[in-house]
Parts: sequence; C-alpha cells; structure tokens
Amino acid sequence: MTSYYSVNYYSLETATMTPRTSTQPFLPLGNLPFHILLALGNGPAHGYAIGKDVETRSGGALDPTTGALYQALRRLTDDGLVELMRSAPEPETDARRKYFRLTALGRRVAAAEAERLAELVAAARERNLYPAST
Amino acid sequence: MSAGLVIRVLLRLYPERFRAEYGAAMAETYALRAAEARARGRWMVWFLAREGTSLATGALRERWGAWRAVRQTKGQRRRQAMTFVNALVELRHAARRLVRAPGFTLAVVLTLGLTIGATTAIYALVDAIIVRPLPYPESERLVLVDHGAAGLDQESGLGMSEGLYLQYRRNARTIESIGIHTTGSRNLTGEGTAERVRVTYVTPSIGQVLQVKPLLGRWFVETEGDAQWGPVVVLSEGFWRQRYGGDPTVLGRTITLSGTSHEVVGVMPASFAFPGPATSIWAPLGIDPATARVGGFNYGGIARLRDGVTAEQMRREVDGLIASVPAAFPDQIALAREIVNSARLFAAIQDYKESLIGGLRRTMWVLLGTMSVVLLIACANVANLFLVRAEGRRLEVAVRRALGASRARIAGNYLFDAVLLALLGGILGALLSAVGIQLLLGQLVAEPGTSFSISQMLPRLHELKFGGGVLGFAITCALITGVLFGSVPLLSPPDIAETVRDSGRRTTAGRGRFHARNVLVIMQIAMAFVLLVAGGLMIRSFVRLNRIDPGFDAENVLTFQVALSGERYSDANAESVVAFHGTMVERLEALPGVSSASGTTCIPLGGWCYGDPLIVEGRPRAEGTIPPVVNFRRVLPGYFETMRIPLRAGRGIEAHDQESRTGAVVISEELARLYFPGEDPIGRRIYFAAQGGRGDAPVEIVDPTAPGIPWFTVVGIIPNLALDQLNEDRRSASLYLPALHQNEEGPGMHFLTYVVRTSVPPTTLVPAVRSLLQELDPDVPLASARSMEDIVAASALRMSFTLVLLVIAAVAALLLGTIGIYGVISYLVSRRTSEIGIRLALGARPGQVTGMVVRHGARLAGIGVIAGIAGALLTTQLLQTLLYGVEPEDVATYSAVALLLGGIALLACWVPARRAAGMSPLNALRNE
Repeated sequence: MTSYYSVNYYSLETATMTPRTSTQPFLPLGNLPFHILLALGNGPAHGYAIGKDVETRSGGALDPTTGALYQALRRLTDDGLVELMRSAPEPETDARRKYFRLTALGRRVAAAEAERLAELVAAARERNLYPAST
Repeated sequence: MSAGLVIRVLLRLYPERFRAEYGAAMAETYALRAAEARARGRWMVWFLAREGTSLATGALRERWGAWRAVRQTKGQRRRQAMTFVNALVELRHAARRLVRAPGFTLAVVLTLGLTIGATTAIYALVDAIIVRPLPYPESERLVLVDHGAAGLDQESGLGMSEGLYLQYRRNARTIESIGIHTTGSRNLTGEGTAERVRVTYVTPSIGQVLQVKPLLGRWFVETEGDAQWGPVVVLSEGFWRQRYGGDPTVLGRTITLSGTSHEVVGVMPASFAFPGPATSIWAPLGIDPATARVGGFNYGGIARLRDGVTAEQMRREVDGLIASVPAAFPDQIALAREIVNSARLFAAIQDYKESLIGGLRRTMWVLLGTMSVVLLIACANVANLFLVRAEGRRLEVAVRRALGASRARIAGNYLFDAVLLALLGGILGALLSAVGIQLLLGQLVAEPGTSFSISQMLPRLHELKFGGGVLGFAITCALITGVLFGSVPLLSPPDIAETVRDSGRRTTAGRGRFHARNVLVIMQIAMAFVLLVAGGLMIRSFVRLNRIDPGFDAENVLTFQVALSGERYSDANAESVVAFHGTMVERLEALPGVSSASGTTCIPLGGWCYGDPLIVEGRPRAEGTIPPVVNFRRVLPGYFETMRIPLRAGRGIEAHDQESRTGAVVISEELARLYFPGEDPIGRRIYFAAQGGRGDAPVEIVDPTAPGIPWFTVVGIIPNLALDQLNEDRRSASLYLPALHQNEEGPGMHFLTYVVRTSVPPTTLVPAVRSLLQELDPDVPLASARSMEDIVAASALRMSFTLVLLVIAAVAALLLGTIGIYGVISYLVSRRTSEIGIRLALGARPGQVTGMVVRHGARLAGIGVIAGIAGALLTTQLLQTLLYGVEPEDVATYSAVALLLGGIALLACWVPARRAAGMSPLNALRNE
C-alpha cells in the first residue's frame, strides 16, 4: 500500500527538523527498555516479536508479560525513543497488528547506553574483573 | 474462564487513551503468548496468574500516571483521591444500612433473586437452543436435505431416498458432502439384560458432513457403507458410560443387535448428538448402487455446502438433478418418471440448525420477553420500596445536604444501596437459575431414549449448561435493574428548606414523589395486564386443545412395544410372528385387571409410520397425477374395540379375517372422502399403487386394470385419528390392514405396539407384562411402556410447557402488581393520617373517607388497565402461532382479565382505605 505522504518521510522530517535532544536524561536505561531498543535495532517489530526477542536474547532471564511489555513500550513512546507505526510494513497483511520502531532519538539513546556499558566493560577489564576479548 | 476473556476484562481497567492506542495490539500479543505457552505445555494457571497480575498492576500504574499527567490543581487531585476513599466508605455504609433494615433487604433481594433467576434460566435456554451455533465445525454450512411434492400437495417433510442420495452425491457441485440416515429401535442382547436401544443407520459420509472427531476409536470408513448393514457400530458417549461404565476396552468388543453381531469400532463424544440425543448406537447404512431405490423416502438427509454457496443455490442445482433422475436410473424408469412427472418432486433445502429448532424460536423469545416483563414489574416494586425508604430518609438527606454534601454524593448514596442489593439479588438469581438448569438436565437423564422425552420438545437441551455467559447475564441484569430502581428516587430530590420546615409536621406528601409512585403503579398494572392476557389466552388454547376428540378413549389403556428379531422370527416366517402376538394377546387378556388386549404397528399420536398412494378396482389411473398418500397400519383383531374407536359404518377387523386372509380392511373417514367422494366405500376393493421394495425386490407400479391383484375389500369406516398432534390442521387418511393377507405387502408385524384396556391404573400392570414377555421369549425386551393418556399429554407437551411458564409469569405479575398497588395506597393512607383525622373530626362519614382512598386507587388501576389493553393488543400478536382455537384479541379473555385485575386492585386499595376510615379522629391527630 503506497501513500503520498508516507510515514517514513514524515518521521525523517521530524527527526531532522527538531533540534537534537540530549540522550543524557535517558541514561542509564533500564534493563527491559534497553532490551526493547535492541530488539528494534534490526527494524520494526510487533509486540509479540519484541517480547520473544527479549526472551531469547536474555536467555530466558527476561520474559516480559504483556502488561509489563506494553507499559515499557508506552513509556518509551512517550519519551520519543520508540514510535507506533500507523500502518504495518509491507509484507504484513494483518492490519490489526501494530508495529513499533526506533526513532532517531531512540537509536542514539541505545547507542549512548551501549557506549556507557562498553565503557563500564572496559573499566572492568582494566581492573582485571573481566577477561579481555580474544 | 477462557484466556481471551482475561485480557478483554483486564484491558477495561486501563485508561481510555492507553486502550485506544495499544489495546488491540496487546490483545494480539497476549493471544500469541497464550498460544505459545499452551504449545510448550506450560501450566495455563501459572500463565494466567502471571499475565493477569501484571495486567492489573499495569493498569493501576497507567491510571495513576494518567491522573498525574493531567494538569490538576491540588484541590482537584485531592478530591479525586477522596472519591475513591469515599466509594469504599459509602460501600461500608450501604452494607450497614441494609443490615439494619433486614425486612426491606430480604424483600428486595428475594424479589430480585427470584425474577432474575427465572429470567436467567430462560436466557440460558434461549442461548443454548436458539443463539449458539451447532457444535459442528462451520455449522452454518450444514443444511437439511428434504423434499416436497407438488403432486402430493406436500411442501416438505418427504425426506430422502437412496437413489436421490446417490444422484446428489455423484453430481451436485454445490455441496462438499452429503449423507442420509434413518433411526430405529433394536434389541441389544447378550452381556447383561436385553435392552431396546435407538440405533441410527448412517452413510459413512455423515462423518465428513459433520466433521466430529471420535472420542475413542474411529468413525465408519467408506467401504463399510457398501456392505448391507455392515457388522460394525459406533457408540454414543452417554450409552458407553451407562452400559459399559466408560471402559476404553469396549473397542473391538462384539455386541448383538437384533440377533446379529457387530464389532464396536468407536465412541463419539456427547456433542455429537445426531440426529438427536436419544441415539445410542450408530451403524453404517449400506447402499448398494446396483440396487439403490429411487422411491422409498425413508431417510433424513444432511449436507455440507461448499464454502460460499447458499442453500438457495443448492436448491436450484438439486432441482435440476431431480429432473435427470429417470435417465440416471433406467432400470427403475417407471417409478422415476412417476416421481418426477406425477408427484412433481422438488427439493426443500433448509438451514440445519433452523430445521432443528423450528417453531421453538418464537416460543423461546416470547418466554424470555415475558420473564423480562416480570423482572420489570419486580423492578418497579423495588423502586417503590426505595421511594418509601427515601421518604423516610428525607430529613437525614436534607440535613446532610445542608451540611454540604453534594447532590452527586447523595445520589451515589442511593445508587450504592440499589446496586449492592441488586448484586445480592443477582447472585441469588444466578444460584437459582443454576439449580433450575440442573433440574431440567435431570429430566433429560431421567428418560433417555423414549420417543416422547423432553428432548423432543426442547431440541439441543443437552447442550444447556451454566457457564460464564449465563452468570454474566444474571449480573448484567442485576446491575441494570439496580441502576433503574436506584435512580427513581433521584428524579425528585427533596428540597432542603421545605423538608426541614416540614419535619415533624407531616400533612401530605410532596407531589413529585407521588407522580413517580403513581407512574410506577400504572406501569405495573399495565404490564401485569399484558401477561395475564397472554396467560389467559394460553389457558383457553389449552382447554380447547384438550377438548378435541382424539377419536379413541385414552383412559385406562396401557401401551408398550415389542420387537421380534432373530432367526425365530425371520421374514420368511410371518406366521410365527403373528402367532407370537396371538399368544401374547391371549396371555394378556388372562391377566387380572385386563379387559381386552390388541396391537397395531402404529398407534395414534405415534407419527406417520408408513404410507403410499392407493389404487381402486375398476378405476384406471389418470396420466400425470398421483392419488393421495394414505398411511397404513396393521392391526390385530379387536383393536378398534380395545381402543373404543367407534365404527361409522360396516364392521371392524375380526379374527377370521386374519386366519382365512380375507383381505378385509377398515378405512378412515378422510380416506373415504379422498378416494370415494359421494360413493359408498363398503365392499369396494383397493390396493397399493406400488408394490415390492422389500429387501432387494424392485418397486413396481401396479396397474389397476391388470389381472391377479390381491385386492383388499373395505369392510368398515372409522373416524379420523390424530397422527402426531391433537390439533392437526387436517387429519390424514388412514388404512387399517389385518395382520395377514395373501401376500406380505405393507408394514411388517415384527414391531408391534400393544394396547391393553385395563380396569386398574394402566402402569401398575407393567411388571406382570414384563414377566409374561420374559416367559414367552427372554430375548425380547419390553419397551416404551406407558399409558395412552400419557401419550396424549405428551403430544401437547410444548404447549403445556409454554402454558406453565406463561401462567407462572402471569401469576407472579399479578402478585407483584397487587403488592405494588397495596403498598402505594397504604403508604398514601399513612402519609395522610392527619388529614384524614381532620376530615373525620370535621364530620366526614367513614364511607366518604373510604371512597376517597379507593377512588385514588381506582384511577390508577383504570389508567393501568387501559394502557394494558393497548399493550396487549400490540404484543399478543406474537403469540398467534402458539395459540389454538382462540384469537389474540379474544374479547372474553380481555374482559375477564380486566375484571380480575381491576377487582384485585380495588381490593388492595379497599383494605388500607377501611383502616383509614376506621381510625378515631383523636388517635389520628395524636399520632402527629
């Protein structure tokens, strides 16, 4: 389904036209929100897929219930890190299925959080608390 | 509770905006997660608890967040927090108030409980029978395949024949699968006591039509339909539990049905009640394409339409296929042509569910409507009680208002009481309806397999159960009624100043509340009037129905069925069969308390049984027409005498007719009218228009001019007897044949219903009859022993069911209406005590006071009755199809009801009026 003002275009514009928000207030990210941002890293996904991804990635340690998942998603959306797509991406035929995706800000916040964690890992290595990468 | 319900309910807790945005997506995620948990074999209880808790807490957090997000003044926020605290406090106050007024509470809870219970029970019936789809996958695609015949003046109900089944199965493109079936009773012997069971013979294709998985083992395979009555059977779950104690090793066991062994290959679940819950065993119906008959409409048909095809499209295609039947069956061309050209057969395709519930739809909705009206009347009564209570609390309320309680708070106060009471009533109602449902289902178990059981009157009754939907209905009912009667006092909130000023000096009640009360009473009387008219019309119909002459004397007649099977009574040995019955009759007549005994292949009110057109000697058949179909019964000598069926002319069938095979037959008046208009039928000779069809013998059309026809001679005429129901529009033509004739055309004597005229209560003879039968042949079970009066009553079962419920509803309405008007008038009197005292002190005569009070009541009753007449004229039209011999506008019923209701209403006013007039003026004034 094509539309004259495609959602993609609109969000690109929003991302470029609004002044860059600092990622600072969002850090450190909670465990579940960070996992959600990670899950969305490869592109839009619907709620169930996000939950599934979180569960697999965390090796089952995190298995967010529907309630917890959507509360986190709602917060991330309100904060502008994630947005609800108005229409599902192309191969999806089920119109009821709602897709979420990262916003530009969300992408930067995820990167900032990853950086923060990487710094912590580096610090741990320095103090011989964590084996060096091979 | 189903998983989907959890999320739907819990999502309601979320704030509106959150739900609008994420609700659908959450429901989808939840469903996927539930499916995954199930697939992984996780404990669903654990899953539900975890998800449920998180959803509930999530909802609370979201709500809290939404509150905080909205910009609020401090005061606003505080007030909102207070609302919640207030609600809890109010609830506690309400509970305390109700406990302090136990009489009031009990009256309200009982009234609501009883009426909500009755309404809920009827709703459960409506839901199970009318609303819910049949328990088969995509059941909306199932259709009943039936036929009518223009040449026989029959619109439907002819059924299916083997030939047509093959024709449709091979050629119809509009259907996915089709099957035919026929049900009969068979003797189950060996392993335990001999028992008569209902066996449905089905083509294996019924499995594809209905698509139900067996509980155990398998359904029939196609090849089992090729053999003649294949030696395998499938049991129903109910029968399997009852006879085999639910033993899974029943598969592979051999059972003996009517003398032949069958292997049990499967058990079907209880939901597979096909064609009805009475069937215990299914056996494959063998149809050999080489010998399949075009005629012989002895089967029921059911088909599954292809996706997207309508019943109408199928009807059109099948009508075309009927036209090509002669070409498809060249060896039976004469009969095929007759069916197509003379009988002018056509297809009658009907939605299968519709065919099951048929006329019940109207009845059930009428009953649900009636119960809802009773509920409304009860609601009005409770509202009245509330008004009285509100009156008593006026001062308290005024003080609270003066001290700053908001109007909303006071209103909430009333509503809390109302909703709390209504919920208590709803819980009681739900309990009562659950008990009622169990009782009704108990009826179903109490008489399994009998042909006149309650399951025939209420098809699908076995699907009835008390579930979440029914509980939900009761609670919804309670909440709606609660809000309805709880808000009545709010219509006229008391004026603070006036109330405080008036306190302690009661003269007359405020006008506003009087209006509310009066309107309630008028409504009650009007609704009671409508229900009483409905009940009255039903009673009149019932009386009319019972006045119909069935044509025989049903009093003190015992009937029971005997079926002979096995080699001793093989088809070739008709004499031994008749000899058995002869001995049986002799022994029966020797029993003490028996004055005479006889038997027939088909008793009156026992259904159609067997029928065909006839030919008359010396009357060639007109081309392109078919003589009327008449039904046949064989009778033993003395049948008409035993049943006390009067002879209109000639004589009955006597013993020598049977012994020397005279071919003497008796006909009904309707047969005489159809075949011998304006002639004397006695001495005329008749025969079947077609013969053969037994076993593999082909059906041949008999030419009336051919020599060597084994004619029957008409020797007597009897009145028309009812076939199915007493109130049949037109009683069918019947032919009564002797048990033996030159050849064996016509119904067989293996299956016979005995009729025994007794001088003692009929059913007391059952043990004696059973031991008699045991002596003659231990392998022959006694079946369906019941009195003829029972059978007559059962034929009117549906009407009596409707009648009983409508009359109960009408009486309840009358009672509630009377209580309502009595309550209002006594309240009026008590409010006007001082006024009446002054009047009496000033010299009013007691009669004048009584008159004044009664006049007020009479005015209300009068308006109510007039409104009731209008309402009844509008609504009793719905009863039309349920009535017999009385019009919905029957003047006598209306007048009687108006008199009854008016009289009772006046009486209800007169009692408090007398009390008022009897007061001493001194006491009345001192009362203040």
